[in-house]
Amino acid sequence: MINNYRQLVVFLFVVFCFAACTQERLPCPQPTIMSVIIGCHQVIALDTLGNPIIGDTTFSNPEIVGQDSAGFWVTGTKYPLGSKQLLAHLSPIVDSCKWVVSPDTVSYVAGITDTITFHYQHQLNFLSNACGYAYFYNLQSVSATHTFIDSATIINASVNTNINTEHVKIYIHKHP
Amino acid sequence: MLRYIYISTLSLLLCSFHLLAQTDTGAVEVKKPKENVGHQLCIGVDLFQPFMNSLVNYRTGYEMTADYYFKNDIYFVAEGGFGGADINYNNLVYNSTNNFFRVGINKSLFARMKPDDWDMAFIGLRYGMAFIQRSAATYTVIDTTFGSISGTVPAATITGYWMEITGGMRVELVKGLCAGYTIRGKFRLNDNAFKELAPAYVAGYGRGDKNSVFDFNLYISYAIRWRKQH
Repeated sequence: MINNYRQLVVFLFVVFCFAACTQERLPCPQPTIMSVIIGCHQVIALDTLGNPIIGDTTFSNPEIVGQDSAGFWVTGTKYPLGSKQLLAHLSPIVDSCKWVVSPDTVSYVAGITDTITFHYQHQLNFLSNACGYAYFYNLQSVSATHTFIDSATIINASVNTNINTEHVKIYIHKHP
Repeated sequence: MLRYIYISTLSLLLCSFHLLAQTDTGAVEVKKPKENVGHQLCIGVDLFQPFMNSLVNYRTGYEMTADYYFKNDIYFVAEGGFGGADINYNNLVYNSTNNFFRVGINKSLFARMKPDDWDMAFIGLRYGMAFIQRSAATYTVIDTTFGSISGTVPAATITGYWMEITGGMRVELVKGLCAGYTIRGKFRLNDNAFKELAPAYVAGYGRGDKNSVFDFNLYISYAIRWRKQH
């Protein structure tokens, strides 16, 4: 039926070439540390009825620094000019976590910081063999001091592998 | 080309006879010529999985196949093998071993050119089962900010079931010695059993943390043939 097997040989050569590119360790395509995504918002105007119109706002060069369960400051992250969102990841060792936000680290004014406190539950999840295990979080409540933050609200309590969803909105009552 | 003309003409003739048989209430029967191709049992080993074993250091897999010609270009197929996975990453350590078997059929897509023509391009179906033993696993969630956390997941015994759609070809290189490939699309039937730390590799199936996978085999096989007793 098949008069020659040239096709077979060519096909196998192509397959072996592809197979030779196989990696030795499975690559992990996703983050294994889940972060709370904090969006920064502000009242930009009032409508004709006097209701606030909320819009995105940006910080100059914000920095966010975490505090571990023993109260020690841990490594912080500085963000570039015009950042609208900040990331704060949570400790799976305890059920609450504090992050201190400085809105402007360039023209830094001492004392212009606020502390955001997250209360949450954590759950261990198997992601994949490539990525191993990770903790997912369910936010219970969030509170903030009021130096430049007016209020903080949870809008999506599930902190997991979805990196496109904002979890917490903070409302800035004025630019510091 | 002549072959296709011949097949087409024969098909038309057979259809015509069939219609004739329907219109004429007299007992006109057209019997299909009886096959006289004999028996064939083909036993083979897969060369592709050992090749992959040498490239990918966390997995092993070895596969064998046997098929028996039934009739009307249909072959009964039985396949089996063994293998496992050995994961030794900085965040996950465990190993798993498994045996598996698959049963199903292959259907040759083209008619024979002559009775001893056993070359074929085929499609087929399989049902597969794997019996997996996974060791206890040690995991570490690496967190450079708040500190890493380690733990253990208990050992488990898992049975996996899946269906396959296959396609491929096989040619006779020299008398009785054949080579061919099979491409497989596999669909797992019991995903829930693999929710808690699915093995990285299940011999016979593929990646344990995927619900559907593609796979490939390259077989070298030997055909044993004998004639029907008349």
